[in-house]
Amino acid sequence: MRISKSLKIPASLCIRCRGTKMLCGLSYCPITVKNLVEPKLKQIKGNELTGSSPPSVFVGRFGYPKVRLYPSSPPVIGDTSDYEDPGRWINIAMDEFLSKRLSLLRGGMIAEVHGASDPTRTLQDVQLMSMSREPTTVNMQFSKSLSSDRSVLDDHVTPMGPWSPLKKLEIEPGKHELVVEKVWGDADFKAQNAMFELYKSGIKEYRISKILSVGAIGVSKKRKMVPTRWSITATDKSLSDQVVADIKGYSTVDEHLVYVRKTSGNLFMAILSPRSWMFEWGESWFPGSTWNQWGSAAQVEIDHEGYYGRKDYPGIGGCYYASRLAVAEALATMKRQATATLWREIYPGFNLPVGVWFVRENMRAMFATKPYRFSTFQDAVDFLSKYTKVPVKYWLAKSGNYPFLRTGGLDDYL
Amino acid sequence: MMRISISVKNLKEVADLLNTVVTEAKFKLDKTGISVKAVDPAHVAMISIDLPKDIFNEFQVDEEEEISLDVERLKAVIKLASSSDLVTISKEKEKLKFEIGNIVKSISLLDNNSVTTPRIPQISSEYFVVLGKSDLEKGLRAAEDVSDAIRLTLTDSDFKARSMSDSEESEMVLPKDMLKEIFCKGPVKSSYPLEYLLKLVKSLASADEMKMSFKDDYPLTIEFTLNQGKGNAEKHISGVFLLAPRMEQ
Repeated sequence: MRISKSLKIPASLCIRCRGTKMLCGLSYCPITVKNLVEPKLKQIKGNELTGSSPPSVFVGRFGYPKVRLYPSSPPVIGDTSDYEDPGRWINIAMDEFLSKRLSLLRGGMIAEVHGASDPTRTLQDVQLMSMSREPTTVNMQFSKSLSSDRSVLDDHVTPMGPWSPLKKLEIEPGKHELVVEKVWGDADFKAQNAMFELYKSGIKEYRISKILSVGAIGVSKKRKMVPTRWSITATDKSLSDQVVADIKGYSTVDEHLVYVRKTSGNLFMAILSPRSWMFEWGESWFPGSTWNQWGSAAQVEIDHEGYYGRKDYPGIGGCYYASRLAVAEALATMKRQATATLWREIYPGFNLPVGVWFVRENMRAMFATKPYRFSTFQDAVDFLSKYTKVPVKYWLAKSGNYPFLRTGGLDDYL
Repeated sequence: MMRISISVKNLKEVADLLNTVVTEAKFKLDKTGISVKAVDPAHVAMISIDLPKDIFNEFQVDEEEEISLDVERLKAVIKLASSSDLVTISKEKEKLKFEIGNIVKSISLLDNNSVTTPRIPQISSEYFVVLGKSDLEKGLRAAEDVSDAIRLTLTDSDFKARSMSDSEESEMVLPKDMLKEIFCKGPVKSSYPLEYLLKLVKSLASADEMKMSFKDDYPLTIEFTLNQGKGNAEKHISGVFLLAPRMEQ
């Protein structure tokens, strides 16, 4: 694998560690992952693969608007749905997660994104497969053998396995919910509305972003494919925009609610304060974590929006909207609005880009726990200071919510 | 039936004032005039403005009603006119029609339920100072690059506005003879977020003076009237601005 090649971990460490102590400082063991993936690759006979696609598809972004479309499947027949369901990944080991994702083998074909407005038979097959509610059988014939160097590791996109150009593709169409067929078949339904319609009907956001990426929704003449990386954030943004609009009609939470979640290499925190909707997402990358490999101190970055939202794209990117969806959902469940302050510390050793699902799902799991309650923001922050490794004053110095929350507020005088 | 006519200068000032706290506002119309109250989403500042019937060149309101508007859209329409123009506004179904000279433009109204009606805090302080707007503005501008908060102090003989950071400091002192009126027993002081005060003062184009009331660590009340120019000397557009204190740590 490319990851293990480039890292050059001294063999002496591996011999002492044997995948158990993480002496190399990584949050997963490259050797274990390799040992889990290679047997699956060996099951492929010749240049042909038959498997149950979870379903899974990847749309590249290079060469846009002429991109590569990759239907994909592990070389496994059976219930492969957990290869594609982020809700289940936070409870399994990183090695197992990676071995699953890296054995999703992809058959690549060139496609023009606007082709979705008048899809070819092949594209239509891929669309139907991508929309399926359960795994569907795929047969792919490749023109070259698969090379494990061509895997996807990216901070936005969930990791995926190697690819090879497709020579022939056969797909079973899969099974679809009525609402999925409805938005696919409706030629006048705007993509944004279609996404929310799916969401309201209980279709998970990872499926919605997949349906968006293969260009299966929207006003038919304007339908286009959307690179996976963009479709994930577009889905988080679009869905959270609508949930946020809904929660603005509710009254505020009654106290400062504090949530904490410690997970491998990460600390997630949130304070929901009794004020109108405002939101901030802050990340602090420690030296030696994915995006602070060479720094000497933890860096705090915060992006913020006021009640009316923001007009520019947040510098932090995809995680901003993934966490915004998680907190908006939590507030919608409570039927409350709040000023939401969300922070994440990323420690040394967490140095593998896994995709924004990691933030979304950890935040969801955190908001499912019972909050600690405080009557003032200061008390809430003092409590969090017991957990943070970055002194809270550095967090507060960059916080967009804090200047508002530290002011008494007119509500104190009602 | 609703049809009113007002000077562009007045309407622009009202829109700018509202815009210091909100981007959407709900106006209440009845036979005596128009009033509007708005609180910023962070619940730090509130503004309330009264436009009595007499300040309008034409005022026809048959029944009490509420009209909710996007303030930015309103400002965009006003930009089409020069400040000496008159604008005639009438309601047609779910739209508000603006006639400015040869231009007719309609903007759609917002759903009244989607714009919050602020709850009015009970705030009163017997201590106050009446001072020139330009004097206050100088003190605020001096503080602008020092800190994001300003501390106001009132004694029986002067008014002070002071800002401090680790490295810099700015202070304005206005003695009694530079103030229009002052009433205070013993010193009172309270800090406020500077940004809101600056926005308010910048939007108050035609007010000459303002009355500021506060006490220790307590909301600030600023009362002002807008200058109508000649005629209409009896009635004014008046407003009240409330600002929550910044608690010092």
